[in-house]
Amino acid sequence: MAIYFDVRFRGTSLRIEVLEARFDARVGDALVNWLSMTPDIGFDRVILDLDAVEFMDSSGLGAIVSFWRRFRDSKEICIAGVKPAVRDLLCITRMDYVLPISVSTQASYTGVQRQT
Amino acid sequence: MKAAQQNFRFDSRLCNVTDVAKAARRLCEENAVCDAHAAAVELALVEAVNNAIEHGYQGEPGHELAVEVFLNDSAVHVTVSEQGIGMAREPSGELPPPDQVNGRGWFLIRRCMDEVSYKSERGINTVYMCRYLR
Repeated sequence: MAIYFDVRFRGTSLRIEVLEARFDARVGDALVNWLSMTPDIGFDRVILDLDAVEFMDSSGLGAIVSFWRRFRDSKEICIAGVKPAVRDLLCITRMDYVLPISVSTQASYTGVQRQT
Repeated sequence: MKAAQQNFRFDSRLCNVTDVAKAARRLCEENAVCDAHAAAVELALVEAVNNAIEHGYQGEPGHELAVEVFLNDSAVHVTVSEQGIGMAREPSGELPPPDQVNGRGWFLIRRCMDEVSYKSERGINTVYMCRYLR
């Protein structure tokens, strides 16, 4: 079975690290499936780490929207490690206006840094 | 730049999309298409093939898809054909609201490519896309 992402707790943060260079329908479906089975207790902040991602399509973007919808009312959210190709996609779909995006992965543990 | 062409026929499985997209990207790079153009073509191709699998074939494997990539000095041309459920008309490609999970594929195709058309004739549904190399 393919392992598409790694999930770790650190303090009160939950980090979901995408391990694939291509965040496409396969990875997106796996993330959405995991979100549907995971209780949102035991953490205050949730980080989606995209540092490994070099390519993302609308299916990956849809999974990020699912992630955002799941946690936006109850947790502090950060989309971290955003590379230029992913950032371009978030910008042209105007998701950069609503998602808390960080280029850094380390900064996301200490607080959300919105890059504009 | 010489003209170059590559044709792909493959089964309607999402796991095949990556291989076709990478091969198309490689064809662009080998023929001196710059990274920005190659990236746009790759994304549009992925979106069109995903749509063909997810909507045309309702996500079912076991159906054939055909992709043709042709490029020359002036443009990269891509056609994606399937024989599944056709659309009544070409989608507008409007950007959905931010909290909508799906529906950005045609927006991205139109954003990435300079010419886009869709036709459904004699049971074959074809998306044609062209990106100018300027």
